[in-house]
Amino acid sequence: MVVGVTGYGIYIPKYRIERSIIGKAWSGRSRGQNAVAGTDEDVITMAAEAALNAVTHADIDSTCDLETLYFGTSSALDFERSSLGVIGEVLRASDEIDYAEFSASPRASFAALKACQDAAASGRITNGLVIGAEQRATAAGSQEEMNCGDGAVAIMLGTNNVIAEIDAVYSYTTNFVDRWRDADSDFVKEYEPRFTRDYGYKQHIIAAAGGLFAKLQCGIDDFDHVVLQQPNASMVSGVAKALNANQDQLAHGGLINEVGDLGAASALMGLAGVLDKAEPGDRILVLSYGSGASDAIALSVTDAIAAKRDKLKPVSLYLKSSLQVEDYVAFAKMTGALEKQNTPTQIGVPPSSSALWRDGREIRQLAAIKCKSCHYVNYPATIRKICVRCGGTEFDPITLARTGKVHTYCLSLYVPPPLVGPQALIIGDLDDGNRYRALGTEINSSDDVEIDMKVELVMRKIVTQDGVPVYGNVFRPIRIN
Amino acid sequence: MGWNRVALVGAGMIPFGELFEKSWEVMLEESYLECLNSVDKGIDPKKIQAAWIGTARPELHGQGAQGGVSLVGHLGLAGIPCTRVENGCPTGSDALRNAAFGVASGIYDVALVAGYEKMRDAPTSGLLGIAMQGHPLLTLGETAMTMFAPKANRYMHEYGLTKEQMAMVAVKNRKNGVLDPYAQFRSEITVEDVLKSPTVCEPLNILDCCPQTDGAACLLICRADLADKFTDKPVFIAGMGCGTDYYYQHEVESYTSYEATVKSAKEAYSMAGITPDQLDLAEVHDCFSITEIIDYEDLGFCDRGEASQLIEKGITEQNGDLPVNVSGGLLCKGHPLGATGVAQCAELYWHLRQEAGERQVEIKHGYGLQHNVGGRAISNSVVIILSNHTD
Repeated sequence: MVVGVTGYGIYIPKYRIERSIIGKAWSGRSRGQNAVAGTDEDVITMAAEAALNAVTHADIDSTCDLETLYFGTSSALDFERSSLGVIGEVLRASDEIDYAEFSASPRASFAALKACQDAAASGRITNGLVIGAEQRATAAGSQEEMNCGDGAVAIMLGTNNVIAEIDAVYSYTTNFVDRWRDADSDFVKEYEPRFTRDYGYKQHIIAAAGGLFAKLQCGIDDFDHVVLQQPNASMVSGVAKALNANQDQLAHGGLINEVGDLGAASALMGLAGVLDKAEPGDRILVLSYGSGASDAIALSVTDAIAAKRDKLKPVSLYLKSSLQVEDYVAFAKMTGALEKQNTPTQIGVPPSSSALWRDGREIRQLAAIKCKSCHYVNYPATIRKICVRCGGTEFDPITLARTGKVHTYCLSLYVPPPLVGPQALIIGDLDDGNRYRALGTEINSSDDVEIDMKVELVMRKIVTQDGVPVYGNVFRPIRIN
Repeated sequence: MGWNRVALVGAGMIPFGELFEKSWEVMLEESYLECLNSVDKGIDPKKIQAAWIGTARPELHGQGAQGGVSLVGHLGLAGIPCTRVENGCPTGSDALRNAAFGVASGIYDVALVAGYEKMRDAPTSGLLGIAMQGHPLLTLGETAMTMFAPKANRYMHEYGLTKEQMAMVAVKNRKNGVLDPYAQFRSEITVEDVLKSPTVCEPLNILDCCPQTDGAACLLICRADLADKFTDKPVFIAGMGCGTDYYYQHEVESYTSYEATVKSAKEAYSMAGITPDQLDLAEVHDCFSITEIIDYEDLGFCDRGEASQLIEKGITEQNGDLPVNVSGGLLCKGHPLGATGVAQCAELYWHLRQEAGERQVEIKHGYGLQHNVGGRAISNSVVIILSNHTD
């Protein structure tokens, strides 16, 4: 059975930090920039937006046709529980969906991809989503702080309407210690960058590529595009040289100087960049790396790729839609390195996670009910058994629109902790005529918001209480049309 | 309308402010003694048959479960029926409204109404979370400011109200408060002061906002036909109204008005049988400068979109055609939630009895209006109309 990519979607946060700004703070030097997640973002929110983009691009109905959601990250949020269900809710996926979280390596997303490929090849599933997302906790002043970026990529794998077939996969693993973050450590640590470069990254990728070439009876010249895991620019160029890959082959998959080391999203982001440009018949080589393991994957682009491009939000648009973080203090607030000391407001999790269990899911699903007698749309559905407008008790379920415009707003400098001012609060008129109230995001001054401005509801991390992230909708100025 | 008329025969208040030296019990006791002493012909406290106490946020000073005994238990009145009322910003006025029901029904002849709030025993930051109620995600981040400021932005957008005009409300009320010994602030400010004061929640600056205030006030009410036992100058409840709007901000339809006010005003005017042009003064809810602007329209003082003209033309100044908030209002006198509505009625009581001293307004028709709006999504309102005569 032919298994391949049927669609994909990416997410790169809006904020960028020039590495020179980090360098200035800590007497370091580097060129390029990293993508930085906002304070209300994490791997789950970034993954959710990438996943929505992938579902749109793959053109499947995620409420019934999605069967697995496999997630790879080395920025796992919790040892005991997973927040993947939040992504499923945003996709309005079935409760029968199979979730799995792969971790403990920046190549975790490739472990996820291989598992999903196997599930599709075996005939167990028809559509499965693989997500790689990363938001590493890096120590202030460390090399990781300088190099790491945040982002997410979602790849839909399936057997129907494939845009890039998976021809072969080869993996190579040894027991190797380069980077780690143990349970007692807040940050990623590294033994010695040159040891990682020469004995970890380089040796494993060359070995994986060699194994794949042998399996397919081919060589580097048989590929139109080569995508590498990108921990930093010099490591990438060193391995590219060792592989004899040329600049044309590397042209579309190299993003290290624009978004930073995306870890589990790194090589998949490169793949997305290539698929944005690839022509039918092109062959693609993807090489991952993480923690002493490398995966080599060969793909062939099909004729179906062109027809789906109108549903795509390409990497280039996310790169273009950016906002520079002006100084290190602002950056440190975003990464959490600098945190205001205050007492957070209790919003009900835990111990009363019951309230959010009851009503939180439909908040993310935007599930509302329309009164059969007066047609007023009541929201959210579970707290409304009686129409607030007419008292009616019979309803039809509907889903609210995600886009609309600002009816009115305010921008408050004083908000209940752990929120930090200036915090926008938006009353929005959705495109379907319903009204929604939510916090605003990516609105930092009154210049960023006005009445009638177009906005979209996106899922963000609203607050973390006792270590539990709480996700909900916020209004964002429309970012990519 | 089939109800026994109700008279006000006593009013007492303590000067509002940052009263770190006074406990909530002492605030209630002092305002109660002021109230008893204000009764022209005196009153034996044993004649008080029932009491109502308004306090909106006692949890701010660690008293989450205030019931009726928290009033009468401190006033030597233990034993009589007493009920605590909580209804957002109209808490105090709704305590009076419910007490009036008790008397109007014929069940009680004489009743006490008290309102208090102890807001400065909690740090300012403690106040930030109190607007978050209902579903945790649907109200997250809300404060008093974030519930009023969106109305300001929308109103400015639709009607062209300027920040300068908004600031003129604060300037007027601070000027009025100079003459009110009960006011928290006793100094004037300028439009420039307001515009240059720090922004707290765009478009509102700190001088567009009422302060956090400790305070208490009491009223004595009785059956109108018994009023002459206590005073020759009783004041009467002419009309009362209570209105609500929707619970969540996304359910509220209008962001240029407070529909709860519109409804409570309609009920009160209808009960009193008067129109807004018969009012000699009004004490309206001006927790923020924008609130008073919108109140003018909701209460029928002018047409929609015309409120800025009332303030521009000085119509609502102390010597204007319809003086509004001659006490200084919430912006200047302060806004101790549960005390506010009771204190506004005390102010009307003094004016209608011609005993408001330097700030006395001219009484032509004999009617004064009290108004509050607030609570979740600013969807609770009470309006009470007092008169110096029965019809």
